[in-house]
Order: sequence, then structure tokens, then C-alpha cells
Amino acid sequence: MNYIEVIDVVKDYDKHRALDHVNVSVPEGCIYGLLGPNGAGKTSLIRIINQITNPDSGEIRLNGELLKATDVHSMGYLPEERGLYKKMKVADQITYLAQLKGMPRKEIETEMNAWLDRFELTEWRDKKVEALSKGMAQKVQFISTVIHRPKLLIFDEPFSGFDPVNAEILKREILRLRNEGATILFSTHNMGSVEELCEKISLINHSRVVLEGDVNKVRHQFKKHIYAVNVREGVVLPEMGMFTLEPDEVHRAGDDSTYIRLREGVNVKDVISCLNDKYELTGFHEILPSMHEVFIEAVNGKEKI
Amino acid sequence: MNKLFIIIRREYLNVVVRKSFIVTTLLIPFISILCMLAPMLLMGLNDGEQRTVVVIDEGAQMSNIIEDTDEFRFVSVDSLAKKNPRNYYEGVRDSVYAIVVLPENLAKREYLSVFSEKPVSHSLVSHLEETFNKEITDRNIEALGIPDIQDKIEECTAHVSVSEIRWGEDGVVESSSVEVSQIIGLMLAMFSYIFVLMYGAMIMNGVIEEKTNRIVEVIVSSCKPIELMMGKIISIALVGLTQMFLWGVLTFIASAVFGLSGVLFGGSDPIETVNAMTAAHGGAMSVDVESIVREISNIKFGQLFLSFLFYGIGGFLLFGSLFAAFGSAVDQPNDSSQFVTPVMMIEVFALWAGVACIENPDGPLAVWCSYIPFTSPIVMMVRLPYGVPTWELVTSIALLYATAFTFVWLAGRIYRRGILMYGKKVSFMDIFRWIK
Repeated sequence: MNYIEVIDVVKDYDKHRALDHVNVSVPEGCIYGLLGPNGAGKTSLIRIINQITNPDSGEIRLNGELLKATDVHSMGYLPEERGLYKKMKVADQITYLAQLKGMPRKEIETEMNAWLDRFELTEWRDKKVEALSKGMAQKVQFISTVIHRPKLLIFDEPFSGFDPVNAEILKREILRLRNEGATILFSTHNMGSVEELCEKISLINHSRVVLEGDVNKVRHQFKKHIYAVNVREGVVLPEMGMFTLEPDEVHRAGDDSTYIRLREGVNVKDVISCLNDKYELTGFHEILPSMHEVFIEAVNGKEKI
Repeated sequence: MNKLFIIIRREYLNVVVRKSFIVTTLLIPFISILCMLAPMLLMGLNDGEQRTVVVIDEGAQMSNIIEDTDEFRFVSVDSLAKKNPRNYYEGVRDSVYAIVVLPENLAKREYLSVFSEKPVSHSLVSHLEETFNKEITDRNIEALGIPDIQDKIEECTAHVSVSEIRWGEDGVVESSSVEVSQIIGLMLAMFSYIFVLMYGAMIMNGVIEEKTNRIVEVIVSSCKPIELMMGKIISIALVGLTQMFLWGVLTFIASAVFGLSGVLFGGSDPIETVNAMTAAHGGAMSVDVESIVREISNIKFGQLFLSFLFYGIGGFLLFGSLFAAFGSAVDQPNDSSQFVTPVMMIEVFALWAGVACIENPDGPLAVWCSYIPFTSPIVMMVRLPYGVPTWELVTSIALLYATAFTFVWLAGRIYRRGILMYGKKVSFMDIFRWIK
């Protein structure tokens, strides 16, 4: 069951088309990545789902129904450019934002205390936001986004500006929220986090969805038939008609694998038996392209057309 | 809970609990009272020093009729000084302020001289003139030899006062009160001018602050941009009313502290208070003051107050939404001048038109400007105390509100685009495009 469905959405700004017949389906309980270069239209799409702006045509369905005004109560949004009222106290700030999400005051109090405790911010409760460090302010922003237990969480570039420690906490919390039943949509440039977190992605380029699906399927779709081969002794030599070497393919320091690229139409089984005849084979596995490579290829590939 | 209410409460409390707000609210009444008191106190400094004026009577036999005042003490000297006042002055220049010489034929020539090395204070000259005019007039009348002449003169003296009568719409006679109307109208006009500019700027700065803070995107993902904008406008209007109310109360307290409350606010019965005041001034003006008080009570304060409220709210909606829209279009306060300047010019023009209308409250400028929504909240305030036909008032208010709501709608469209627009210098053309 798709929790959120973006159907044929078009959005124009002045002379620029930000979204060109975009379709995206996010299954319930999924961590969904919205990828794409800067200016591709990710933020425009996110703002439309959040009802900050309206699409010029097309529709958004939440749980099968057209989006309505009260749906913002079941959404949590952490924008890319995020801020807080500097002169407000931490607790007042969280309370205010939670109230705007329609959360009753009593619930806010208990929930807020739990979150502040989890992020070790309890003693900062009554401090003004301007007194917080950047990392602490980011935690307050995160709490404000999730305190009303939204069913749909939308993060726009959540990892930008986070130090590695906070980024790790953020990842942990995103996974935890997903396990508690939330559906999560986030846009990012950080392909490492996509591989770690996302089950499905859509790649938007020049206002259109150019690629979408399961992360693993997408990587298979872009595979170049490259395999890593490990042998006990000797050097793997190219085999005419079967595979060539890929000397540029090095994945990490101290890696003693030999990388080979299979010719088109060649059966993997035949390659393995061929190698097995000549060498003492200790390892053989397929190298899938990273999301980073997929991203670059998809984006550049489209540009060539 | 209603989101608009949540926003209004936050915005209101956010301003009202700020130190800068509390300090200005507390200090301004005291500072303004001090500013009013300062000249009085300075004048009071003079009083302490009573200066000596020497009177040389050359035979007029009137040196004893000059009464001492707070400022001057009059001392008669003997004939020795009569010969040469200049020489006499040389001897006493340190202790004597001036020398008054009463010539022998003062009563006939109606002429006397004051000698001094410094310019002589005007109050001394007028005191002398008053004293001798009265004395000589009385003596002349006495000389006619008619019995009970003073009483008869009193009976014969006329005190004509001109009162302007104007017919109201339904032919009912209304008394008119020109000077009082002018003052009240101008005060109300100034008030709405200051209110719009001061608190309008506050709205704009609030919008810019939210935008530069980048919190605005989170807020508008929870509520509609128009709710946030209206919340700001309404809460700042409430802040303004709170501040004005507190200033009123504090001014009253402060003036009570300085013993000025009677002068500024009067007692429960204005006529009594004014009479008491005029009595202190010798009673000469009591008739005029009474008529002023009567005229004040002739102004329809109920209508005036209601209209002021209507115009105030309408005008603030109109200008407040403009300020909010312009605030949303810029990234920092410095960039706002291109948008604010035209608004300021309209406001200054309105105030200028208001002042010009005092001379001719039914002239074409006054009438037109009291219809145009951008100027009507100010200009109509000037016209109202003179009396404005009800249909004109209703038309003008209807026009104001129609325009105000249109501008709120337009501003809402600009605002929701503007708050999410960064790093681009926005021109008027962009803003017009956003409205589409």
C-alpha cells in the first residue's frame, strides 16, 4: 500500500518549470530517497507535499485520499534551510511548533521531556535558542519535527550541516522512527546515507523523474558486469572472448582483488569454471555500482540526450 | 486550539516580554512629562530672584500704586535721585534692575520711562502699562463727577461672544467649535499616523526576522502562510494598543506624581476644573474657557471614538499587510527601503493633507482624501470633529475596508512567495508577477 502518491504533478515558476509531470509512490513504512542534483526540483516537490505551495496540475494522495489541510498534522518536515526563533526558550519553541501541529499541551509536555532527555538537552530546556551550539540547535529542530509523532516524515537534506556524531544519531533516530511505523521521505546528495538507509529512491533531474525503484534493483540496472576475483597465487590475465581487466577499479587500500569485466553475453558460470581451471580461486563476487556512480551516470547520461 | 490564535499569542508575548519593549513602555511617559515640565521648572528658577525696581516719582503722586510681583519689588526713592537718574543708577547698579521715572504730567501725557543698561523684561513693561492704564482710566472717570459711575460702567460693558451655528443634516442646530475641533482632529490624525508607521515597521521587521532565521518554512508547513501573516498583523496591532494603553495609564500616574494631573486630565467635572484654573489666572478668560468646554461637550465623542476605531483597524490592516508583503520580499532590513519609501510618502502626504484640511474641512482636497483609503484614516480624523454626513462616513469606511481586504489578499499572495525566496534582489516587477 502506498502511503503517499504524487500523481502527474506540474509546477511552474515564472518561466521555469520546476516539476514536469512527476510521479512518485512511497510505500507505507518505507525510507524513501529523493535524489537529484541542485535545482532539479526536489525541494519544490517536498514543499508541495507539505502543502506550502500548490501544484499547478496533478494531485497528491495520502493514504489513498487527496491531501487536505489537516494532513499537515500527520506530517513532520525538516527543511534544508532550518532555523529557530533565537530569542525563544527551547521548551517554548518546541511547544509552539507542536501546538501548530495540533498537539494537545499535556501530551507535548511528556513527549518533549522524553526527547530532551534522549538528546541530553534537559538542562537547556529554559535557555534561549541563541545560547545553544549549532549541534544542539539541530537536535532541537529535529525534536520539533518529530514530537507530534507524524506518520510521514519529510527531511530535506537532513545530513547537511550535521557533524558525524550528530549525523549518526540522526540515522539511528530515523531508523527507529521507521521501525515504529513512520514513513520517511528524504532528499539528499549524500549517497552513502542512501545506501545505508533507503529502500527505494526516485532520481529527479531537470524537473523529471529519470530513475526510480528499489535501491538494489537500481544498482543492478546500472551494473557493468564487473567482478572481483581473488586467487591464491599468480596474476589473473585477461581471457580473450570472455573478460577484460579493469585496472582502474580499486575499492580500498590493500585490496588485492583483480577486477574483470565480462564481455556481453558471456555466462558467469563459464567464467568461474575457466578461472577455476587456471588458478586456485579464493574469491569471486560481483561489484555493483555504488549509488554515487548510479547518480552520476544517470544525471550525466540524461544530459547527453 | 485555533492556529491563528496560537500564532497571535506567540507573536504578542514575544514582543511584550522583551526588555526593549518594557523599557520604552515604562520610560516614555516619564520622559515626555519631564519634557513638558522642564520649561516650567526653568521659568520657576526666575521666580526665586525678586529684582528691585526703583521708582522715581517726579510729581505724578502715583509711586505707591505699583504692586510688587513675584518678579519685581518696587522701591520709591526720595527727591535726591530726581535730579539725575543716571548718576543715581551708577551708585546702585548691582542691586537695582531698572529705574522707572513717573513724570509729573503722567496722567495727561500717558507716558513714562524705564531706564536700564540691559534689555528690560516684557513682563515689567506690561505690568506697568496695566497698572497705570487702570489707575488713570479710573481717575478720569472719577473726575467726571457722576455718582455710582463705576457700577454704571459695569452695567454698560458688553461681552459679545461669537458662536457659530451650523445646521445638521436633518435641520437640527448643532453648535460648532472651530479651535477645539482643530486640535482634536489633528491629535487623532497624528495618532493614527504614528501608529501605522511605528507598528507597521514592527510587522515588517518581524517578517524579515522570521525569514532570515529560516524558521518560516517550518511554520508554514504547519499553517497557511496567510494565517501567519494575519497573526503577525493582529498581534502587532494588539501590541500597539497595549503600549498606547500603558502609556496612557503611566502618563496619568506620572503626571499625578508631578502634580500635573489636574492640568492634563481635569477632574470629573471639566467646567469646574477649568474655572478653578482660570480663577487662578485672574478670571479674565473664564468666559472663553467655559465656551470651549461647552464646545468640547458638543462634539459627538461616541461617533468620533467609533470612527477612530474603525479607521484605525482598517488603516492598520491596509498598511500592515503592505508592510508584511514588503518584509517578505527582502532578505534584510536594509533592502526594504525601496518598498517602504513609497508607503512613507503616502503617509506623509496623508498627514500633510490632514493639516491642510483644517483650513477648509469641506474643500475638495479634504473630501477626496477622506475617500481615498490610503489617506482616509488620517484625513477623516481631521474632518470628523467638524461633522461629516453619515453617508460620506459610511462610504469612506466601506471603501477603506474593501481596499484593506483586497490588499490583505494580495499581500498574502506576495507573502507566501516572498518568504521562501532567498538571495535574489526583488523588484516591484517581481512582486506584481507573484500576485498573478
